[in-house]
Amino acid sequence: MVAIIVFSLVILSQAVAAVVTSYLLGIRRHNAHKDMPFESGIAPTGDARLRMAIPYYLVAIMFILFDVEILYLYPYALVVRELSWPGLIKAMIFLFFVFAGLVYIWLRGGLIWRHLSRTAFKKASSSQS
Amino acid sequence: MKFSRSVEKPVWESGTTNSLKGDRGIQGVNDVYWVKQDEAYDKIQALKNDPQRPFPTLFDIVAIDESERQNRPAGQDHRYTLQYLLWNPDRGSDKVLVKVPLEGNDPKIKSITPLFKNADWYEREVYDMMGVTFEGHHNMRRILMPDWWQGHPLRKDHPNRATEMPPLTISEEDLAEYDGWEMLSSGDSYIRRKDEDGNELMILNLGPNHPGTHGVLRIMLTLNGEYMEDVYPVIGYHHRGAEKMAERQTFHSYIPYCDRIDYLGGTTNELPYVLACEQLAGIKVPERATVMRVMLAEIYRLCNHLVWFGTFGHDVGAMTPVFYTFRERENLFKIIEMITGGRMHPNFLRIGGCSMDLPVGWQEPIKLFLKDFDAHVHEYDNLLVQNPIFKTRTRDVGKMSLADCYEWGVTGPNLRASGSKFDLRKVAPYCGYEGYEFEVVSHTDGDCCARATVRLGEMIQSARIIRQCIDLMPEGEVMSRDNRYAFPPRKAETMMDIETLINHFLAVGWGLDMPVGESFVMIEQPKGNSGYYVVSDGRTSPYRLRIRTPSFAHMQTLPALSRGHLLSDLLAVIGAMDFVLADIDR
Amino acid sequence: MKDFWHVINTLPQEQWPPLYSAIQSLILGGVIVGALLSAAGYLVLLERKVLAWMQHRVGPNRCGPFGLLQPLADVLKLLTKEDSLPPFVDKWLFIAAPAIIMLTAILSLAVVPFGQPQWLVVKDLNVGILFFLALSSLGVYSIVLAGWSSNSKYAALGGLRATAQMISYELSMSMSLLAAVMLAGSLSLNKIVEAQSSLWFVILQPLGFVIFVISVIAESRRAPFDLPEAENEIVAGFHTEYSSMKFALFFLGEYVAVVLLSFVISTIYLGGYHGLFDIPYIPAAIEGPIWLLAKVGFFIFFFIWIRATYPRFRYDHLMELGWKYMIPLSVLNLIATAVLIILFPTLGGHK
Repeated sequence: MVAIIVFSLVILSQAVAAVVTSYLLGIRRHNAHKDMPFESGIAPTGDARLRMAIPYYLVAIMFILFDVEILYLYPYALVVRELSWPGLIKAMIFLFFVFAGLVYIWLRGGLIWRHLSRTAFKKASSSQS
Repeated sequence: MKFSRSVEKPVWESGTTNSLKGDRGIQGVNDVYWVKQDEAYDKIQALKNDPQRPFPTLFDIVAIDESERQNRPAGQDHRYTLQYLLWNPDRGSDKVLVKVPLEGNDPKIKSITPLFKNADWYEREVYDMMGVTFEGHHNMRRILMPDWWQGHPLRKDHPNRATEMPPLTISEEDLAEYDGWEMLSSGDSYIRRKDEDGNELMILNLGPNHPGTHGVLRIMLTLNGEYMEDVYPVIGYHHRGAEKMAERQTFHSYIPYCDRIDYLGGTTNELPYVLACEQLAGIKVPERATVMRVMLAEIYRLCNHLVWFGTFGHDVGAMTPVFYTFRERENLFKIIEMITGGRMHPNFLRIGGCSMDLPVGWQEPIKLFLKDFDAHVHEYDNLLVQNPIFKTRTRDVGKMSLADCYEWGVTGPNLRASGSKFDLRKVAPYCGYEGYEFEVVSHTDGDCCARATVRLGEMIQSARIIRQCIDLMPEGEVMSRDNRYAFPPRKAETMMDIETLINHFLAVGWGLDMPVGESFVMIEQPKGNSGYYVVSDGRTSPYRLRIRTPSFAHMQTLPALSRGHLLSDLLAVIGAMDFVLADIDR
Repeated sequence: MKDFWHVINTLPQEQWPPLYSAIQSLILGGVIVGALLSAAGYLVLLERKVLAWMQHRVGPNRCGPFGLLQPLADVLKLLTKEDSLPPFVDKWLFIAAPAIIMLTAILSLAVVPFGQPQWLVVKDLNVGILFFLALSSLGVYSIVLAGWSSNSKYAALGGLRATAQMISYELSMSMSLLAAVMLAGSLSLNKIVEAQSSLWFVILQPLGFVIFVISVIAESRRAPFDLPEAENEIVAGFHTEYSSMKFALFFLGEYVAVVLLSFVISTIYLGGYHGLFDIPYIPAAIEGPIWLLAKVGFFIFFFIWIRATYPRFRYDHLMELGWKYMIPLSVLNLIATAVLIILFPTLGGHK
């Protein structure tokens, strides 16, 4: 633990030193155009912090689900040899549920990232139903 | 460099083919209809849907300010002539001109946007440049000039030069308003701030200062996640008033300006202009000059496609192809430099021929290049087009059907990628293209991948044509000598006698009065079909020069091609489209 | 002094006195950080040179012979550039983001064994692989915070892209690592290397190796997975608003990540410091590091090579590749490995 903390301090001091040096060395000037977010030379319209599209959240939720499940497998991985076949069968049951979850998401269309825009998508889905 | 042209006493007969002020009429179109202002819409509709002779494509809308005409047919005194150029690619490039006389200073006419989708931008351009208002147009605003511009530049009473106007000033507020969203969103059906459910969409400006837009192009997007709900290209940042400049230049001295229209196209820009002038004056170009023109046109086609290939690769994220193709292009530029002395802007063609003969030993470098090129072109195919990531990124992206291509006035390789076999070099040959063996490369998918395949195939065909040019190159003159409108003899020959000297002095120092008339020529440029409409009033400079460029027509299809796709697809679409901002804005 | 080295070399690291531990990690950490930062600088030069050779160019050749002083010039330039802190950004997060990427990228190297003697690893953690995975998860924060705090649309898009991409590929990455852990029966990188003394895992885990390599390229956001900073599409992505050294830290973070991931690939799949043969005239103590560096060098070249060759993925293809191919395949790989291990328990160097 001590070693890791010391090592992180070494790294952080490097990073801080670099930023502080450039802060001291570089010039700083402000003007109206520099103080504007970059948007290809045009004054931006609207906020950059809009509500994000649903698919991004979906990815995050799916990630948390599967990442936690994979973590459960790490202890098993260390004792594969000791647990032998009974252990494998139990692990397979667990993996089956993980995999079934993925298949379920897949079948429900959670893994489709390529659709037309949401308006077009809605039109297409409403015409089907 | 040595030139093999013999110096003989020129045959310089004046007035053998034309009288000085003889009206040559309208050349280069199959039919001309004069239609009244309120009947124009119906006439165009009838022409479009004619069962015997339909015209599915609107090629161009040209407006001419007639107020300073000196040689007008008797009985004509209208202020503007608005002309619609309709076109049928299927029937041997059949073209008709619908001419509509417009009275009054600020005339109004019914918009034909319900008939032709691509009339949208053409009508906006006419409104911007001439101040003709189109009633029923959904977005009647300036397109090339900024919204705050005063006056309509192509009117004859608008100043020609900046020095004739008061200094241009613009306040920060005006500029902010011009930049801003509200300006473009008012009364505009393309861009919405919210989607159907009332969710706010992200409005993103891609360009004018952006690494992916090939120049100063601004594309306004509304994004839902990464999906583009609306796409709205804003052009005009590269506008230089090339058409207005023509009205101050003599017929000859405008040639260098042509090079700058599509700056990757070199002589292929000069060619339609020079052909239009020759058609107007009735000049027959010597055989050798014609073959040279074909050869240069194909060399520039190769140059253009090489640049396109590299930048398209870069647009989809492959960084290497651009260096390979630019190496190839550099070799081509060395050849072009050897022949013309220039590189991107050769200024080589002249009305009546070419400016000089080919240098001694010109065949060897070209043959060497072609030998390398044949091997390299397959490398390019393997490097990029056959790459699985490239294929998945470009297949089914930016699809356009053949019918839509006609509707939007899409031409050139983009049209052929949608399944058409139309190529002006085959259908309506100019410069003796009928004498060359080559295939029209076409593809049926109509997506970005098909466009890439077609252009790769065209490169191979261009190399084939260049080979034939080397074999076929006849001996002889490179400048027509039997017409007084052709470019004057070289300086050395003017020392022979006083008459030639005076001719030279007048033609170069003053410019020659072209015969009265109008002339239209369209050719197969690397990017598509380009048309030059030259109006001569019998003076030394064009009365009006209209340049119809393929990039303008293609850029107009961008919303149709990319709406509903991902942001990354937009880059694939504009990469595959092959445009140059100078060619769009002129 | 002799006693000190004796103690150091025989005692397991866990039993070292804390002061030894601290001094050892301070020295080795300083060496690693210093070496890494200059290595990252030269990696930029190497990348530019290799790309140039692949593209018929010359590459940087103005600063010193063969452009060898180019990294120095770059650092000087970046240090003296305007360190812009625009008024619209979220100040502290904006500053923290580049520091986080540096920290997470370099800290992972603490658990990489450079050679046989124990003092050649900062800390031989018994959960080394989990440590590496945890830090690479933390690395996502840097990108998210950079994208969010910039308050600029291109940055926000880049941040979103990066997040979705990195967390998706983390799954297949940890899943394929799991199979290697099974073979070695340990989470310690040192033990994993030791388990490969007779047979490298790349032979036992060909599928896992491929999945892992693809996942780490995606994880490090390099071409063809460089969507978060795709300049044609979103200008510079999450670091659009950054300048000077803060921008350079992102850059360093990326190159350090390349080095780190090359280390991890070599350690887990290519036997780490185990060589194929004994190098003559070289003391055994530094033979391990030489082999390791050779393998790392190959993978660094491999990353550059890939960048020169491939076009960029598109977002939906990237996600589909991750979720529909990589994750199911890595699960299958996991099951197959477990079955193999139970059938042949001696696999992976076990007695």
